[in-house]
Amino acid sequence: MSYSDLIHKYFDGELESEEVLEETLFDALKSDADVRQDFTDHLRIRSLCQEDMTSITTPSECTQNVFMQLGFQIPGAVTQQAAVNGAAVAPAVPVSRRFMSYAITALVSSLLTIAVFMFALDSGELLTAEGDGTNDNNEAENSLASNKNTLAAGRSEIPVVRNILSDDASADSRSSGDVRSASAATASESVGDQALTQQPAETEIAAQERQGGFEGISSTNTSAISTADAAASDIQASEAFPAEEAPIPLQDVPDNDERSIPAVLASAMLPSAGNAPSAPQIGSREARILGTVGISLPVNENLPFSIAYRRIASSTNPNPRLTTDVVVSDPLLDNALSLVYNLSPQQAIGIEVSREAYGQEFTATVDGRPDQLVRQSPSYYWVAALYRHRIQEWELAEQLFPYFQVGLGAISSGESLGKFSGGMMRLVVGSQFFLTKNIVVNGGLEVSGISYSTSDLLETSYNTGFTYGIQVNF
Amino acid sequence: MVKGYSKYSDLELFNTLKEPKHEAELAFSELYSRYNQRIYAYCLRVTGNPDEARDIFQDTFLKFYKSAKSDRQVTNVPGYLLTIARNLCLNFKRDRKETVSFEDFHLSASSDSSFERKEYLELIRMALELLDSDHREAFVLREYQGMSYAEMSVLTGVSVSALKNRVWRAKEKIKKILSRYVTEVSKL
Repeated sequence: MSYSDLIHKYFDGELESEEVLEETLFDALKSDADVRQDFTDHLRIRSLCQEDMTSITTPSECTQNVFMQLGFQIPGAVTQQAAVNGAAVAPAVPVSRRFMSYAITALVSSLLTIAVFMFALDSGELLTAEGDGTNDNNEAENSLASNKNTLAAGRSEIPVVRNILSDDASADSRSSGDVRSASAATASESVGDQALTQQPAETEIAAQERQGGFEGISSTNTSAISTADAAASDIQASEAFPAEEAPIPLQDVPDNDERSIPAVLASAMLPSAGNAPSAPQIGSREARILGTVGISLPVNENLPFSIAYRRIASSTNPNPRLTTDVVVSDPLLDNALSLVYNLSPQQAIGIEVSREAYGQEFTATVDGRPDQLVRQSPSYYWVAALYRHRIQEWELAEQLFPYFQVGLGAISSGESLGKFSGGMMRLVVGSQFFLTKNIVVNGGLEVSGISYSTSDLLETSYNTGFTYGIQVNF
Repeated sequence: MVKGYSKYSDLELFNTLKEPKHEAELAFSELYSRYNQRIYAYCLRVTGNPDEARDIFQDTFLKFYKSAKSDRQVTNVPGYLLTIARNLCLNFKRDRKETVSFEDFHLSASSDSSFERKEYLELIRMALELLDSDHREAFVLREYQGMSYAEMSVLTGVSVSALKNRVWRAKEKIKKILSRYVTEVSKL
């Protein structure tokens, strides 16, 4: 056996069991330069081959072609591996470009959603406030707010509503009827729906606004006022309660009640101008803690659509702009429904709609009586285009993956109070845990912001909270 | 690498390929991340042609996925991938004519003695192309893929002794090519 054969066997690991031959080779390496050269050449070739092997990187276009032809999403890890190996690969697509199509989709969806929401669903008659005088009639506003709450209670068949219309001359000029006792609520039940549809009252109010100068009251409020006045007129006509009887200035509206949205918003959208504290505006800085419990039910895995349902719980924190009398209300429960298109196991887009409420308790001057406790739970509709992304590459723990969801959309009171509308953005950052491949538990933090215009003022609100839920895949 | 599936064995992932698309995609991504470089290196060094290597590589993984869907039983996933790639390479070799001649190599190789390491790498790649396809394949499987002769025998259907002989001849030829143009190999 030649030394060259011994060298081959040595590099094949076949001399380990043959110590004599190994000794022979080592002796030759010590004494024979040609053997050393041969051995060194073998070593160099092996080294070069291994170096060559590590320098080879799969072209990114190959990866893209393979995954595209299989209908899979291209894994980012492959690109990263190629970059680590230092091989020439196609430039990585910037993140902004990777998500550009989805961002554009979300934006277009949002714009369409807003357009539909603001125009297609806006069937209400809107008034414009044309008053040119100063609005120093705050009691009148408060009494109007009281009227609105009466109407709201009437719609929701809430038995305990105690509302007072102001004796203020301005108010009297618009609404000559008062509600003075709880029994008035019963009366309002019978006329609430009717009152909501009484549009002629708006004309009257508008005219009186021009005369009396209700400056700063938005058309939304004016519309609410008109319906409230109409209701009050009917109530007075049928019941004719004396003004002095049982003025109990507590408006007790249960959380998340079933009042009509216009009525609720009428109570919510008290004008901020004037003698605050009045009802905290949605656009005020009150923070809400949101808890979301949801179940997502994909219709079919092969069909990239999913239907998701979730419950949203929220509670209202004190508004720093108001007095310390404003307290936190109990959490409210709301529902949200979404239709999602799954672009891939990681990415999904869709649309989500909900009616979200917030609770508030505060003191206000009601019928000229200061520091009266008022409790409300107004709500609004919102609709958002959503984009959801589960980061499959980051496994936080076993079967635990981070995800985020972005929603962009619009809020609106809907129906006849269509002036109350604006934009909304929601962001959820959390994680999803795969109990099984069909059951996913998710949770995280949620931030949402709304922006809307009322009383010619642009209001914004930023809320934080948490979300958790369960997703079931069929 | 898809971390959620990184803990699974090759066989578990291969069996997951039979699952619905969502799970199959994750399993395929994981297997791809494990073996794409190895398979492409094999294709590139055996064919010596990047364009052919790309085609063969892509076809390899497409066939791999389809065969997994067809309930094929596999015990050695990387070996199965290499088998697919090898068969495709043989098909390509059958359809093409060897184009690299020793003279071409002579003209393209520099005779400058001051080789840089990168140039040596290029030289050994070109030397590989000069090998007979059987010798080249055996050499690539042994030196690039790090396979044992037994594994190589299973893959190629060639006896262990024949494979050893091929590898030996391949190395000797590469040494000869290198020494012909590089007199300072020992300086590497």
